[in-house]
Amino acid sequence: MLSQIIKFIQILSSETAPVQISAGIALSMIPGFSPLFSLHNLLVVLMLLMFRINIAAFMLGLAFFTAFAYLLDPLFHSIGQIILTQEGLQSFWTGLYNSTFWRLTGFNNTIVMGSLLVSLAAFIPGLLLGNFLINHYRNDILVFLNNSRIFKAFKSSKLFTKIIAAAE
Amino acid sequence: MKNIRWGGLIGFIIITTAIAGSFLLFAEPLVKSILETQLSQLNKAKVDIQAVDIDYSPFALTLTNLQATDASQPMSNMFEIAQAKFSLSLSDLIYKKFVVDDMSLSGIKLNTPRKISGTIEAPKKEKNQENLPSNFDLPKIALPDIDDILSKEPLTSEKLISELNLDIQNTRKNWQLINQDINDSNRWAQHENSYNTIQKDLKGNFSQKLQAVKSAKKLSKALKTEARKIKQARKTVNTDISRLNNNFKAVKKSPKADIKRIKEKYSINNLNAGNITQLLFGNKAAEWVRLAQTTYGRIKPYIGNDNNADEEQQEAPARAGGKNIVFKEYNPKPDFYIRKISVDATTERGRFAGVISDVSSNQSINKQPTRFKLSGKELKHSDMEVIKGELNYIKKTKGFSELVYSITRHQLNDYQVSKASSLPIAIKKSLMDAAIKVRLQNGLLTGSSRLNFNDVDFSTKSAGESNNFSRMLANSLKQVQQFYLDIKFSGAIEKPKLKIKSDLDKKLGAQLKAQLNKRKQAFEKNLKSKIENKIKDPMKKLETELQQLNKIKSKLDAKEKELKNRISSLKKQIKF
Repeated sequence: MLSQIIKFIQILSSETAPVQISAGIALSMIPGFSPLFSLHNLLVVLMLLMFRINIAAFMLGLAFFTAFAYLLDPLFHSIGQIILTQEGLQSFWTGLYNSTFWRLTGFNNTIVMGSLLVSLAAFIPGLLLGNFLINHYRNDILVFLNNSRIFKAFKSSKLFTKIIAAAE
Repeated sequence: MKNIRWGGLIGFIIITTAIAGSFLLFAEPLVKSILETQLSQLNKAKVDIQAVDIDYSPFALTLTNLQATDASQPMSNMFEIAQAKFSLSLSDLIYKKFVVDDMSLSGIKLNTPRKISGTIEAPKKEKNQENLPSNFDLPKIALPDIDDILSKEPLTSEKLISELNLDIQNTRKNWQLINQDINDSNRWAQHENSYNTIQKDLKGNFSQKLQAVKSAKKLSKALKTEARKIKQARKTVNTDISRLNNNFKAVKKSPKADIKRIKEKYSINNLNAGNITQLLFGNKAAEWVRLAQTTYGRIKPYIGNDNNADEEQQEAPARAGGKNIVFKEYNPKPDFYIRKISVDATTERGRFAGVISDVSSNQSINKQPTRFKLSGKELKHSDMEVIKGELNYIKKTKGFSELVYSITRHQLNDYQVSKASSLPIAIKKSLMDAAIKVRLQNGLLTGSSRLNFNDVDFSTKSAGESNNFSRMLANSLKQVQQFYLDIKFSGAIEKPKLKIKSDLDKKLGAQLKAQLNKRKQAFEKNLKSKIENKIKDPMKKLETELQQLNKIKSKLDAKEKELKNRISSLKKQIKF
């Protein structure tokens, strides 16, 4: 976990495009929140491998959001229940329920539905927020740290070397 | 395009293909393992499958040599299927539904032995067996042993004799006292003296005469007392004699009363041949019912009455896995559904082929009852054998199971009817036609069966000298060439009531009744003779005693007469 965090800090500080990192984090929300063996997660894996999305950021985000999901399960269940039992949507859901493909997705499960909706809704804001934070980190925080004497002294210390070695 | 990671895409395709390939490669052992596990759980005993072949276009499974252990007998198979072939709907499998359009089962064998035990849990004792009559008792036709009865039964005759004996002794003592009293020689001597003195004084002077009158009055009073005593004694003796005679008459009649009481106590009058059909076929009918119960127990888990399955799923707890919301299905199907099963089974009786349709785990969804019809072909011992039925649980509250079975000209050879040691009977040869209809609704069984036996040849084993009824029945049975059997079932499936009727009762009943009456009469005669023998000596003694008493009475009579004469003579002579 520590190595993942250090790697992530290294990526944050590297030349990697901010959008690749924030996309990795935002995308990890989907499998992180929803049950792992859901069909839509296959699509997420395909997107992760196919597009230039930072895998380390995705893995770190996945670990974080999976742990977080246990706390949010009741919320996902409630959202899923509300959506799936909406009167106006019944014919729509019934149509999907009678389709083999959609049945495979497990959309009628309250947690699958709730978590997917929450993660999809949070995807764009997460992506934009991530971009903003990474840019802010690189342009302001990292520049400030690089110029600070304390950080310079820490970087030249044996402890820093050991931490970097442990991360690698 | 620069944002696309081609390596990643190719990697994804390779990994996905590898997973799918591995699945196809290991699908058959995987499916075999899943099927064996699931079917074993359902059967509550091991189900083994030799091989599973999967065809993908169309999707079909072929199971080779399926063996289902009999849960109650782990070393034998309930059935064995050489080949089970069925096409599965893949889309329904995705819906977690096992839906088969057409299934063919060939090479079915029943009750085959197993090499290794197929138990997965200790076989449970079937409850309903406890409720069944295990054996029908022979009618209580054996008459009790008279010597045994007489050794333990106190006879009223003996009691009366003993009481009368005691009475006679007491009476005799009493009479002796009376006799002594009325014949008291001293007292009579005093009377004589007194009389003589009076006679003498009457001839004397005036004062002597006066004394004589006084003495005469005194003597007269004493003689009156003696007369009263004699009268009283006479009355006592008469009463005693009358009582003793009456009691003696009662003693004489008492053997009859004893016989009557013993006959009542040992229900001799109630003895009859009973329901001979029940006697002969009761155990067999109970065996048939037990077989039906066992069969029902076996098929019960497969009867499609699990109407609450979906409701239960809807009400599953929400946490952890969430809750699966169930929507209306356009084409609803039960979780387990086989539209048609073609069966070809080889049994010891011959080949049976037929069709089972609409086997469903929830008939309220597919709206069709499970129906089956199997007909015998190339039968070894019958002309025709058909079994058909319906398991209708579309509406759970009105659900029922119905079975109709018929067999024509079935050759029975050495068919054991009764294994009872007292009555071992077999049908050596017969041609049987049978029609059975049974219906089970709400746990209640109703049904009837008619069995016609023609060209019957009963064989019986010698039941020993002691069992006259068995021998009697065996001889009568040999005369029977045809009979019918009507069995009616009713009551709870766990404890059904059977009513068995047959013309055997009519055919054998009259003969058995006559024989039985004859035996009852002989018993009564024998009992009477033995009782009379038992009381013969005491009666003789009693009679002697009575005779002696009568002699005493005669003596008393004579004495009374004598005394009366004496009193009268005294009174005449005194003349006052």
